[in-house]
Amino acid sequence: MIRRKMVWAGIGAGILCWIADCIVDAFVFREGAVIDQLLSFKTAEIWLRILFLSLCTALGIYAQVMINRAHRAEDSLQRSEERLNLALSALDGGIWDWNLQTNEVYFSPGWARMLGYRSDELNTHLQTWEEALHPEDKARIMHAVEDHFERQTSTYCSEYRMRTKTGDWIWIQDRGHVVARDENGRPLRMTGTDLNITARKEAEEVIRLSDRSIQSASNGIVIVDATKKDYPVISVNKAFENMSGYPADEILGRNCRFLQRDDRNQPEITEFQKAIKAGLPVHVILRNYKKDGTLFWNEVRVSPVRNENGKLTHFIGVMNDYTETKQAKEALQRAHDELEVRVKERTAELFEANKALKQQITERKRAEDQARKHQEELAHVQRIATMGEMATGLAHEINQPLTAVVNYSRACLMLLDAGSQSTDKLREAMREVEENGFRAGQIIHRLRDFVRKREPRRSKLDINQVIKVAVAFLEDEARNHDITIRLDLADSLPNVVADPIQIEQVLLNLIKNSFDSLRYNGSLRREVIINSDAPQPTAVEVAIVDTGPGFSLEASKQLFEPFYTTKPQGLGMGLSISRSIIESHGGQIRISRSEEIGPKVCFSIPQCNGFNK
Amino acid sequence: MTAEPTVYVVDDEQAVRASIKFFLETIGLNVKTYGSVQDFFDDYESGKAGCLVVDVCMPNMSGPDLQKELAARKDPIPIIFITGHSDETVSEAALNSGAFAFFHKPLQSEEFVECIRKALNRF
Ligand SMILES: Nc1ncnc2c1ncn2[C@@H]1O[C@H](COP(=O)(O)OP(=O)(O)OP(=O)(O)O)[C@@H](O)[C@H]1O
Ligand SMILES: [Mg+2]
Repeated sequence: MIRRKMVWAGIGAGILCWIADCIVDAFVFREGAVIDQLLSFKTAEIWLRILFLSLCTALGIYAQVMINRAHRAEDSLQRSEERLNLALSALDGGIWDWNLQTNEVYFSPGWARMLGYRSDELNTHLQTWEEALHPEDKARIMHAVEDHFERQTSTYCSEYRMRTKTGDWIWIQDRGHVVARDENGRPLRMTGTDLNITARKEAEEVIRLSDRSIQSASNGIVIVDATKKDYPVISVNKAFENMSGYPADEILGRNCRFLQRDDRNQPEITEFQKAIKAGLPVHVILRNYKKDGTLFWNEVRVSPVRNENGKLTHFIGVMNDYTETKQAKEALQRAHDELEVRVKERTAELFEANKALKQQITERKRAEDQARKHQEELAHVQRIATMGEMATGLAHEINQPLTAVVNYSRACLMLLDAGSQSTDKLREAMREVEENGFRAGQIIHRLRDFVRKREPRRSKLDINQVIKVAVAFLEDEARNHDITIRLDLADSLPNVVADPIQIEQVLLNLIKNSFDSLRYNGSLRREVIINSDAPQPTAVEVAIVDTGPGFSLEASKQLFEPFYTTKPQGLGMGLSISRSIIESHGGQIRISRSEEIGPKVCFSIPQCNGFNK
Repeated sequence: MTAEPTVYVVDDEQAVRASIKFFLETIGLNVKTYGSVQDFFDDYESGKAGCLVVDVCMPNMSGPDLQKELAARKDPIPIIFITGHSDETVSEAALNSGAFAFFHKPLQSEEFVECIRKALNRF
């Protein structure tokens, strides 16, 4: 049908051409009227014109055919592009068509959408594409294009990044080919498709990352295929290779049991197999062997891997060389055990030592008790000796009030005998009797206290009071030997906690020593000065100074030694006992020389608050 | 009054001299007491009728010191020693050196009174 149309069109065109020719002839050559021209048939000319007409027709037909064909081609191209675009629109991508002579590029609407543009926003020039490329990818892309131009690849294919309208980068898969070349083979036109593969790229990156991570893990990791018979290894990481000493290619495809060699008699293996059979995770420590045969303790944790349908497909095993840890643990255990043994031994030793110490303490305590008893007994003996020495003086002292008692009593009797009415006189005498009797009793009382055997008993004392009592004992003796006792006592001294009898004994010893020194040496001035004071707030101090010749430096070193004496009847116990008494009170006793007078013996007793019994 | 003889008591023990004074006064004697030899000499005038009752042991100046002093003054006043010490040697020495009597304390009242009377009668 089309062909007929064409023929007619050709004939029509021929006639038109003839008419046009006649008209041209008429006007151009001016050889008669048009009609004339038309009617002036000349045979040759007719044939010529018929020939021309046929030619025109043929040409018209040809042209029509060509046009038709072109039309048809264009039609199908358009349709296929539509189809492609439709398909691509679902894929997020587009097509492009590049005229290499003009560098004009057609970008399909899908292509524009892919980058976030509308079609009319894009400049249809190669530049549009070039500018969107990631600078890092550009060289690689151009290389691929060149390769294709030079026919090294049948298809151009490249994956790269492009910038979208919003400035984000998306991954593109670009495929295309040259569709027209010139006679020299130079490409004239190239078309292709671009696909947004960002999502795939990202997924790939995640997979690659996990793969890299597995490879970089310090634990040995092995993946076995649970769908195949005997669970062959399908993947191991570097750490696994290092741990076992086997390279990956010697492991892949085998079952992991090769690590145990013949050492199959391990209870953990049974446990392990049971868990694997049940598809359960398991954690065991196995004796495994490296390629070179050395044993290593392998701490394995195996977990089942399931696909999205929940079907068991793989197992992943994570291994840790437990050898060092095990050795360390064993060493620690050994150390711990050893320590325990040693602690036990030591405890026993300490217990023994403690027992011995306790024994020692009891013994020492007993010894101390004994020493104290000894000292007390000694002190007692000494007190009795002292009393003995002082017996005359004491008798005299008691005699005085007794004398008074007798005198007053006699006087009363005489008054009564004389029938005196003076009751006043009588009463006065009787009061004196009472008083002096009481006084005599007191002296005896004191005496008895002093010589009585008794436990030391400490109480709060005013030291001045004790000094006065001691001096009272010695007053008579002093008088007999022409010795003056001078008291220089500080007022309101703090109290001390002490045994009054013992302190009295010390005072008597010291004062008597002074008496002895004064007596034997016939000193002109015979004085004993007793001084009390509290030079430090912690202790009360008593000093006994006499005007005698004192002691040599040589002697002063031994004065406190028991039985050291320079006196014919001396025992040499006075100072020694005095010192032990003072020290048992937490005090000190020492001898020196007072500047202007003479020898000085000085003792201190801690004050009440500073003293703990 | 002045002609009446006086008993001079010298004793450092207050209770003793007070009791002697009381006792002697109840039998109507004139008594003067002193706590020390010095006190006695401060008050004493020689040549008066009386006697001395003196304690042997006293500080500073003792009974024998007093006796020596009176002997030095050629004072014949009789001296009766009293002592609390039962030391025979002292009493003998005292008597040998011219003491009128020697008594131990406590005093045997009757003998003592008798002795005093005798001593006063010597005047
Ligand atoms: N005030 C003193 N002046 C000179 N020498 C002294 C004085 N006090 C003590 N002595 C010397 O120290 C010696 C020892 O004195 P101590 O009191 O221990 O014994 P004693 O007096 O000889 O005998 P007793 O056991 O009877 O006291 C004395 O013999 C004497 O030589
Ligand atoms: Mg002594």
